[in-house]
Amino acid sequence: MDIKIKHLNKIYGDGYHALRDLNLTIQPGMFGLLGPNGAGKTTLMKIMTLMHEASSGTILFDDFDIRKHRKEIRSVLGYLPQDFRFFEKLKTWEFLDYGAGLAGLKGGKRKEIVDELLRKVGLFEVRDRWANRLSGGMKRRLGIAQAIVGNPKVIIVDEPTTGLDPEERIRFRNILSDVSDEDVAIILSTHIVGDISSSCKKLALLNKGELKFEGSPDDMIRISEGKVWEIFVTDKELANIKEKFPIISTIPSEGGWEIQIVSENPEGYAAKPISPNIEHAYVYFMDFLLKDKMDMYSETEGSDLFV
Amino acid sequence: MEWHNINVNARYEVKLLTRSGLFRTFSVLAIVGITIALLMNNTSMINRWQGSWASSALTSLIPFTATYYYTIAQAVILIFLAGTFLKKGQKLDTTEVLMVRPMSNSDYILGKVLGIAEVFIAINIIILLIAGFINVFVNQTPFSVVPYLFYLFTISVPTLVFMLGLSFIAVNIFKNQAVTFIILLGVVGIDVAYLTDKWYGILDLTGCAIPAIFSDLTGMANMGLFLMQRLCYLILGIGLLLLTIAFVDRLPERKSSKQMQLYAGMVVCLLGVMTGLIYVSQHNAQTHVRNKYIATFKQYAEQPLLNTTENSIVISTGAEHLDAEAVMKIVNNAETPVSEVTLYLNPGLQISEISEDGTPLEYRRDNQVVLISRMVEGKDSVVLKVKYSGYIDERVCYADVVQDWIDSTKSESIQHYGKHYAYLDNKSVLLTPESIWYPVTVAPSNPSAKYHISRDFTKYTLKVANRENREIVSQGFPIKDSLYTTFLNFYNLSGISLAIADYEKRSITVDNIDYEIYNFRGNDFFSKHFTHIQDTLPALIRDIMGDQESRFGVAYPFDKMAFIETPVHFTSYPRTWKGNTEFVQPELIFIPERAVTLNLDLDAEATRIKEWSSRSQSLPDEETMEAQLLSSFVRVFTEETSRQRRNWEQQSVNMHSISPLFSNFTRYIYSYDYPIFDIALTTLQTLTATSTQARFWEGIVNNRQRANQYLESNSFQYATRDTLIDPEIFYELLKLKSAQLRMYILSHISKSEYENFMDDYFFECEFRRSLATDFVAKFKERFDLDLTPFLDNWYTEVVSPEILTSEVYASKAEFDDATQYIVEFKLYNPSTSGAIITAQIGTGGGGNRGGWGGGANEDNTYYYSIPAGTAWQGRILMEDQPSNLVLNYNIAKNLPTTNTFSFSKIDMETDDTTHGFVQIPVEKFSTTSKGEYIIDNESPNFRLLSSNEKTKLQELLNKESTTDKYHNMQFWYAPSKWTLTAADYMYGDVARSAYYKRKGSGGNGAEWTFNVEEPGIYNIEIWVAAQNMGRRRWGAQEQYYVVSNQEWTENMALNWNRTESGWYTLGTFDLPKGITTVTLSDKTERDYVIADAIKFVKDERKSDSGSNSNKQIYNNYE
Repeated sequence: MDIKIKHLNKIYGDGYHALRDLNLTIQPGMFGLLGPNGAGKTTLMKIMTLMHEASSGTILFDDFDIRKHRKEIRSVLGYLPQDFRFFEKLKTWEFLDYGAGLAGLKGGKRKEIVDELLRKVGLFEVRDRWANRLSGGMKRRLGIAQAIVGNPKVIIVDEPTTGLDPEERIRFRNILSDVSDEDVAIILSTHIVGDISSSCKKLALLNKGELKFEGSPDDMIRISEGKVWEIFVTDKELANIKEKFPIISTIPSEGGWEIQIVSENPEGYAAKPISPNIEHAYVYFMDFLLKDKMDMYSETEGSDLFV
Repeated sequence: MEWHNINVNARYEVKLLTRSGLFRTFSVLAIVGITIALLMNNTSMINRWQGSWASSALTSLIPFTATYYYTIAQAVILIFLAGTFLKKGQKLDTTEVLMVRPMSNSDYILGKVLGIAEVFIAINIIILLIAGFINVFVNQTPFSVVPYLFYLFTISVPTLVFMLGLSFIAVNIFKNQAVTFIILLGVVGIDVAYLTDKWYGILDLTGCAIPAIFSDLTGMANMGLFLMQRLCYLILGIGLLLLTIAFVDRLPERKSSKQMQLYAGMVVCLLGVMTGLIYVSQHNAQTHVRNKYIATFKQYAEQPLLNTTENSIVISTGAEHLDAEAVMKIVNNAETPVSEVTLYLNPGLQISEISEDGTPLEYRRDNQVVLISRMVEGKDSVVLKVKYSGYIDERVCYADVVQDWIDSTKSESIQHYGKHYAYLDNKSVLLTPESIWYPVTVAPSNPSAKYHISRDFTKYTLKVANRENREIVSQGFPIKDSLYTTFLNFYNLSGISLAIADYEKRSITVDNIDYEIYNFRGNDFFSKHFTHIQDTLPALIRDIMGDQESRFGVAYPFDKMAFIETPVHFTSYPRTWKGNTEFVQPELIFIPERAVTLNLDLDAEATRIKEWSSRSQSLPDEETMEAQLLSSFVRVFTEETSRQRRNWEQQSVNMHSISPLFSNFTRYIYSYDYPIFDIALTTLQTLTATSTQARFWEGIVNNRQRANQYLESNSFQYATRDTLIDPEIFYELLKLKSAQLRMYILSHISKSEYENFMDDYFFECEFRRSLATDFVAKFKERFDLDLTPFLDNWYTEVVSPEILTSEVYASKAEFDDATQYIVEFKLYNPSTSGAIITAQIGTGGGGNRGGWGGGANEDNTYYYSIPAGTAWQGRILMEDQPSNLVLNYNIAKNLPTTNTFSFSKIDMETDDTTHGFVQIPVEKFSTTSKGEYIIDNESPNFRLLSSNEKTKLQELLNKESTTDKYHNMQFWYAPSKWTLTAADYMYGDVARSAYYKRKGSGGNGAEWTFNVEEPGIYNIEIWVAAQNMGRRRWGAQEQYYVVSNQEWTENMALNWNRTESGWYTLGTFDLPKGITTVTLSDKTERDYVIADAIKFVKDERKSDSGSNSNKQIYNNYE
């Protein structure tokens, strides 16, 4: 299912313009949504999940328009919100069963599907435990299970791995990956750039309600090539360099610090260029590019990736 | 809308609700609490003596009670849970994922509603099952499953739907659970407490205050209106739920859905409101028609009066229909001719023909009035035949009763019965004269002047078409053939009634009087209690009837006394101006279904008799106990006031009293000038010397006192026109005025002379109408006493005498070697109204406080007339030792109106045996001696030293009557603030009153101030109001006083543990000139403190002037 976002605007009651003329296309597969706090990611997701109404513009799920075909869109949606901790007094299997029931599943088949999903997410042994008594990771797994029950065509997950230990995080990514193979669009909103690099084919970067980047992670990385440097600095130099360049990482080393920075040209420092990763690219975008130097790149390579 | 989604939401709502700790607590509390409440109020399990018959005798009573309790509890918990139902806060972030699902907002809300409803209805069913168990196995009272289901679906469910809708909307509006809870709880509280009887009960959202009890025979009184009221709330609830769907904070499936739901919700709410308006308008329509009939009565109130001497009626009845023919002999007793004959007939009955000797007559009809174009000459008569048929329009009944009475659904208990004034259907026919089911020449009521009524005495013959499996009952001797039952009357009656139903009949003849009981088949709840007295029943009945005949002074005038069971909704009103209710007719007494509203619990009464007897270790045999039970049964019909009310300060007129059978139905004394005369004379016949005497257990604040207060500013004549006066107060007022008439008569002639005259007169005018002028003339002829001047004042004067009493003594006198006693007293009437009082002397010695008889009898009763501004001395010579003197001031400002003086010891001796009642100079009367200065709590020199004012909130919440200045003494639970009370053991010239309150910490006091003009030695005495019934209490009983003036202050204590009221010395003091105050503290070891009167008595000893340390000379503390 293709998702087309057209000229989407959202202005809240207090006049805050959360989304500004957003245009975006999302195709099946894992799609990452990046951006700082206040970028408009959650607002976009709220609109996509039909929790909020857009001020103008629309979103099309294939031919289904969010303004007219809410029931149809809801029938193909799965959603896992960022906060997913507090349950009413239901058991694990009951919570999933509730969602399955509302997803249109009936009777004995529903029971089978619920059990199968619980196994899939590794919660079958705790199916009779109260949902509130599950660990954080288990809750998140329950969340993804209910998001995928009913075989939705679009799954929207918001910060799904925040707070999870590495093992849970990997398990979570694997679950999502399994689902994404089945012609399903999974929109993953996250701050954890590693989640995107490992699973997303495409991503979009939002900032202040606007789309700032749309493309693959590699495209994003390419733009930042030659802009990421590794430098050894002393304590004194560290203080100075902090003032000048965004520092991506700081690793203590003998006599000083091995730091990685983003810069066009780190004059005055013995900097060694390194191959950027998605995290470097993100920092390059957020801390360097989008700050004050956008105009300089309107004619340079990759400028077409800027919106 | 998809049923699957609704079902899923409902299933999970059920799970969530039943797992909620709050809801579980509510469920358990509701089930346990309601079970206990049912056991306490609807069974005799917990209080075996209380009796539960009134709340269980009919099949609908127990299920209604259970539903009532549950519906109110349900409303409260729904409000509390409402805030959690739609909450979408941080705490429930996981519910967001459910909102994303493809369900409509309707699916969501309706699913929640369905789930909630299922759970609440399940609890309701559990409670009803418990109620059913209690009904069948604990109480063994009549049971039917129909009312259980009926109340579930018509009371609980609409309330549930409405409260859910209201709560949901409120949560959406206020968006705060706590605020919603407080506001809705306030709304429900105010509604239940104050609004349920407004506008015919349309604001009763629980449906528990509108008439809902079924008659087991005829069903609900007005099913249509009841269902309409409930439908109103059901529809409103649905409308509110639709609006809730519109307001749900979730995007609807279709953009237009929200608007459609909003419009749908508004339309349905409007429909609900309209249903409510139709309900109200239906009632208003009834009132409108009633007012039309009232106007018709008023319009024709001055029609010339004709009398019907004979009336032969042939009638057949069917389902809401009757056909009848009446042949009436109508007489014009006046001298002047009457141009047209006026008849009254129920407006639902259509006249097909009026004829005389076969010749049809012209007539016109104006509602219940029929005007026949036929002149009747003076002293002439006419015989008319009237053919009519139709239904009975009950709205013509009780035209002389205020609309508030008609509309009121107030009840003694939580169960509210509907009202019917007549029945005409397949199950029951019940027609009394009030419904004008046969034509009459005298209107049954006169709304414009309700006391200006007349009563006709007619020879009735009634022929009723038989009905299969139906017993027909009426006055007279029945003769039954294959087609008809004919009732022949040998007396002229003031009206006849007709009852037809599937009755079981029981009868017994004692001394030529047939005693009959007609109960609906299957409703014999009483026979099992009287199995052992079948043989002695005639003797018992003879004794009971003998007592009543003695009480009324006449033999029972009829040949029959029949007790007839009626459907429970058959209603009447206490119209003192008529002297009887429709429950009591000549020869007939109508009792409600299973005597349910008579609160006649024979089981509880039998238990009480048995247990009470066993306490005295003399368990009587079955026969004796059943005889006592029979007396209890009979007491229901012979008591003056009803036992229904539980509040001991309130009593109601006994509407089933049989006294009219001995008076009202046997005669009528018509008076144009004093319309109340007949009733007053009837009431007078039932009075004794102690009828208006205060009873200890009645307290001070009672209806008699209120009646007295009423007469202080209103005349008797005004009272007869006052539509707002409470009937119970009017009844007491009537007794007071009747007693006043009696006392006046007995102050001039002897009791035996009076009784002989009344017997002769009543015999002479039995079963006919006579004139008051005739009575007065005969009285004058017999006793040379013209009652007219007295009657004029008696009727029109605003009477408010006050009587001061002093120097009450009892002395011994030796006379002819025999000890005799003199009781003397002085009376003074300083007011401008004359007074008539009785003095009754109790005998037996020992200082019996009397007040309720104490050895007194009519023989020791003396009647005195005390004109305004005069003083008198009474001296009564007795052979027996007097124990007390009770002065009954009857109508006076005195409070209480009786004063009891005990003579525990008679030490005084005298050789003066003169006796009589003589006038003395006013100067010789005094309530104080020389040198005595009394400051009472009613004096301006007395004040309370605390604020007795209530806060605004206390005033708002306090439902206590603000018209009662004085309150009854409740020493077992004294009030926390100073409260004015009165009793005859308190001090006072006119009002024997005092202030009292619960013991305190000393912060509240009372102060008496005395201006010492002549310094010197004074005894300070305190009036101790000893109410401990002649026995001492244990423990410290001091009250603490501070005596102070400008020179010194002294703390004192006085022991209040006394057997007799009187003056007790606090101490003797040397008082300087100027103000001396005595202050009472509320700090005491007693349970309460009393502030009454203080007396300063000048001691003639010289004071030790200048010696301030000698302020207290000695303390006479006993």
